[in-house]
Amino acid sequence: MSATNQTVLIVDDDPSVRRSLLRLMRHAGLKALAFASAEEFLEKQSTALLHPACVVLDLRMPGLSGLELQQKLSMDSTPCPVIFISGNGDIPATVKAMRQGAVTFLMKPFDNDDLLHAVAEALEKHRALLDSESQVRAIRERMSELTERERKVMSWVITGALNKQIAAELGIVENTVKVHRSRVMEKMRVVSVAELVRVCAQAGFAAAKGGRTILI
Amino acid sequence: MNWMTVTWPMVIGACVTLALINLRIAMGASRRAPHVFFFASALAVAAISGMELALLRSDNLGRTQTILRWAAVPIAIMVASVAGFVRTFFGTGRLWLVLTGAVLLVSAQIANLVGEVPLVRHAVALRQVGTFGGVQCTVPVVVGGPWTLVEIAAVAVVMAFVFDASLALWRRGGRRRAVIVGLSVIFFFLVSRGHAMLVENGTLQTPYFVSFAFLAVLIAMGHELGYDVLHAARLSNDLQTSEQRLHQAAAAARLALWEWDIRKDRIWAPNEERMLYGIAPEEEIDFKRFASTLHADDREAVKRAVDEALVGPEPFAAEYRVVLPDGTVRWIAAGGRVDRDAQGHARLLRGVSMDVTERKRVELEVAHLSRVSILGELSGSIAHELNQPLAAILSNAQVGCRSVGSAQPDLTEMAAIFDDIATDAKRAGGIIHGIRAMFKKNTPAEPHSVDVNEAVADTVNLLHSEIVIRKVHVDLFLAESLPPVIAGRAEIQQVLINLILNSLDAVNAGTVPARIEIATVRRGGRVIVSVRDNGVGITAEVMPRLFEPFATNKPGGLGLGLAICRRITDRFGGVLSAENHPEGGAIFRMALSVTDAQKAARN
Repeated sequence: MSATNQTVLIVDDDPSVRRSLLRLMRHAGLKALAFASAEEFLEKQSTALLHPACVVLDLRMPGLSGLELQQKLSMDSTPCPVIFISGNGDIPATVKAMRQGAVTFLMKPFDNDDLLHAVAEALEKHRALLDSESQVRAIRERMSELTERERKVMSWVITGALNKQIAAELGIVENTVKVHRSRVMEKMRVVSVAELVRVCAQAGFAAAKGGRTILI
Repeated sequence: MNWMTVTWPMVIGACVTLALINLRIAMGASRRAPHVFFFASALAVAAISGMELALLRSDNLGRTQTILRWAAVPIAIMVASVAGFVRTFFGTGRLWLVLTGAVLLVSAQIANLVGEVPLVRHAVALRQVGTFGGVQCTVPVVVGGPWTLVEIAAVAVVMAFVFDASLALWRRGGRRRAVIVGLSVIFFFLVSRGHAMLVENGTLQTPYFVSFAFLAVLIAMGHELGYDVLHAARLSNDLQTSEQRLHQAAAAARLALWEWDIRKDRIWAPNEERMLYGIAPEEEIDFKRFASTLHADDREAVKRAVDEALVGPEPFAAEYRVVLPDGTVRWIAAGGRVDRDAQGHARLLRGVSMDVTERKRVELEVAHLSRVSILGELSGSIAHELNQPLAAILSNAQVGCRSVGSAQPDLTEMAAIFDDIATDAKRAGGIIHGIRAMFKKNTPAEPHSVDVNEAVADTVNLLHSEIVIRKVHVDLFLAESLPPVIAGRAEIQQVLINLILNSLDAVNAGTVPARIEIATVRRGGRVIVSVRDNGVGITAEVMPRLFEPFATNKPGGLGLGLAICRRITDRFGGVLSAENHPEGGAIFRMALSVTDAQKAARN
């Protein structure tokens, strides 16, 4: 938890609460920023969310409410995890917050340890999210090096089709398929078809369709 | 001693008795003129009767002549008195007729008295007349003078006047009285005059009976007068009964009647009323004594209400506290009307008092219950407000604990932590204090001086999370250096909470971005707090009944809030009003009186 690039973002309209939470985070060795409203948060945070972060969010605030800010955050590709804190959480609001993927919902006054645990969990979650996101980005980069024909071949390879079948499907000779295939494995930096299938799935690359007739 | 010397004195006695009875009545009656005229005419008839007897027994022409001359005076008085009686008793008749008659009569009699020889009735000889029982009497042989016609004309004019007055009374509905008095006056006058003339010219061989005829007139007049006296007695009896009924009804309704004679500064009050104020049954009461029974804080307001009623068109109405000698405080509601004289000056203030202590107690209870129920509805918001500082305190305390346990505690940081904890604890305490004041029952029951701006700010703070969750923008426009008002802090906050919650409901139902404006401003002796929203406004249907209980257009609303608010402002002599703003939404205004000290300072 001592990583320097991770931030706890506190959004609460109550100055006392902001002050005490900033102090808590400081003592826990966490970098923290506080905002008095959802609007201020949206305006001022710019780079924090690129690194592992979490938002400690008050439910009731003038202007944009906690739930609305959470909704906005959830549209991000690597949504920053949210920990809700509220002075008086009603059940519908709690349910909605959890459905929208909140890490947890703490009732004020809460125990510092509970909040710190939730913060740790949230930071870890975001880190993992960002990590997987960076892997996908790498895979996509590799994919972009493939030629059109190689992509076509790859889309057939990951269906488990044999070279012969792919050749028939694409109307080319089997040897050419073999060449393309080895280029794909090389460019995608994988050694097995199984691994190729995994990275394609991770990057959301779709397998080819319509191979069934040839298989029979 | 014969029948003559008995009968005439009896007539005299009867006339004097009637005269004295009516003199006595005249002294006590409110309408004394008819009695006075009756008294004069009865005495005149007594005199006439005496002279008549002397005339009948005279055996000397010179004496007879003197008596005849002087008898004209009581006759004139009699005629004039009867005319006066008719005019005052009937209230009708033409003044010019009676004046003409009087002038003719008086001039004829003066002429008769002062002339060398009598100018109206001149006795030229004496004549013996025998009556029954062998009693002899003397009657004069009378010839007319040059003024005789004037005297006859005078009597005729008076009779015409009586006839005219009777006719007018008849037309007005007083038929019995017109017939009995009017006809008997005319009939017996004409009979006596005619009879006397026939006796005097020797046609009839009888004595004079003038006084008998006049006695008949007197009896007719006395009958009607007596009827009036009887009627008045019956009326007074009825009045007493009805007054008794009124008192019983008033007592049953727990109302006490009173009357204040403003000029004499005397207050009349029956025992029920005195008991309400703790005043002894026989004690005399003036305004000062009444004021002395009032609670010191209410004295000014009551005096003001009385002064306003004395000059203004509105009836007197006030609710005040009375402190009984044993220290018990009682709430009294009083109302009354001012009775004015022809010039419009206040003469009397008549009214009723009612003990409303129980009603006041219930009102306070209802206001308190409504306050508690509002706090119940707001419990979530209140919890939220309270949990903010508590969250900060807990977090700070835990951080502090851990720091103390570390190898090198940072003392500057520790000081900051303690400082923060203290600040937040005070804040939490303030919220609890405010809620406790709202929860408290009837305290302080006495109106005290309240800072309206502070009450507004505290109320908005209390409702902070309610306002936040409903996404309403609240603007405060609080006038600077506002004087304190006379009211109850908890009650004023209660009214404000009601108004703001109503506005919150109204703006949430609307479509435009919700706004509420709360403003305070001084207007003369009053401070006005207004709560304006841009919501749906008040429907025309609800508007007239807005402050009545159970009038609501809120689904699920009980409709008691505004009714209670109005009661509260009424209690402090304030005004609560509502209207729709021309630009949409509703605006509620609460006007409260500035404390007297402040008013004095301003003046």
